[in-house]
Amino acid sequence: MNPPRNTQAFPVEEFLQALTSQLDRAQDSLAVKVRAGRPLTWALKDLTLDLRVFVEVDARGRVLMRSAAPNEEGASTIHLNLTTITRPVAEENTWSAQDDTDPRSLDDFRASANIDDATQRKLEWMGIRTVGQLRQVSQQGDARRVAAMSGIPALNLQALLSASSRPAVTSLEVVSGNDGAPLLKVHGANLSEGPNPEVLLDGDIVEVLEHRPEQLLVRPREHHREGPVEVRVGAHRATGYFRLPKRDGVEP
Amino acid sequence: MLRLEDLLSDLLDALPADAGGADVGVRVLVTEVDVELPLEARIGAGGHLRASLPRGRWRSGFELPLGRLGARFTRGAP
Repeated sequence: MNPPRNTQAFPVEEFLQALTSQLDRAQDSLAVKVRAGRPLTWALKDLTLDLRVFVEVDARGRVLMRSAAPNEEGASTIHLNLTTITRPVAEENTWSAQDDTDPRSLDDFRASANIDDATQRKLEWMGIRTVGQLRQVSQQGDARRVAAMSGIPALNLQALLSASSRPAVTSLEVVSGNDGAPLLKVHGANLSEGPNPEVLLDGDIVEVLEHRPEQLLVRPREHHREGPVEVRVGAHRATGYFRLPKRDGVEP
Repeated sequence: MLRLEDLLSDLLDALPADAGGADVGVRVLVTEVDVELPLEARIGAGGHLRASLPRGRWRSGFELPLGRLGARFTRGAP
């Protein structure tokens, strides 16, 4: 039977994220209810919700929730208990994007590493969404143990790790050096492994001022305006395209 | 139906916050409120929860099945 009109199923994750943001807004709204001369404010300490819903699983294995409509029999009751937590607890239990050494999504490597829907879903269930997270887990244990734990074929996992270990340029940024001359920041992954990587701007080798796996700082030459960027790391290379702002008095 | 955050805010507005004052020589301040209510709720666009309290004691066949809302509000220095 088709679900009644006006009722749509939502992934549980999406619902909980929306609910959390609604409670944040509720807290903000309560906090401004400070009456004149009574400098005390209300806060929502605990919230419990019993919701009548139908729980479904879609073709991708996602658990969905749909509100029960009038006169619909057999709905389940979802009991939610929400409480406020302190900032340190939230920070301690939240993955920080800034700490991720390689925040590229695993989605980018599906084709090159032969990763199918089922494999990606298993990794997501393990909380692994980025290359950095996969590498961290694989280093802590080893790739074979992760493969055994997750049920993902070891070869697929090795292919994914191998594909993600190649250098890649994700973005470029122009910054000013101490002398006011433009420098180029190259953002990406695996851009350096030990010795200085070789960087070419428009075919010319340029000076590398700083190098880290996720970022390089290079000095363009006077005549450089725009063109291809090439980063050579060992036997691999990554490419991009740069464009510098016009410099006063210097014609290309 | 209201968004859940608006419903919570409206609920708090409906509750007594204090009684008495300087003219009667004593003032009683509410510092914590627990409410437990029946709830009509629906998960709407973007997964946001919309909810309202039942409109009356008598149920027709057109209302959503009832869930339940429990909330504890506390009062303190901001």
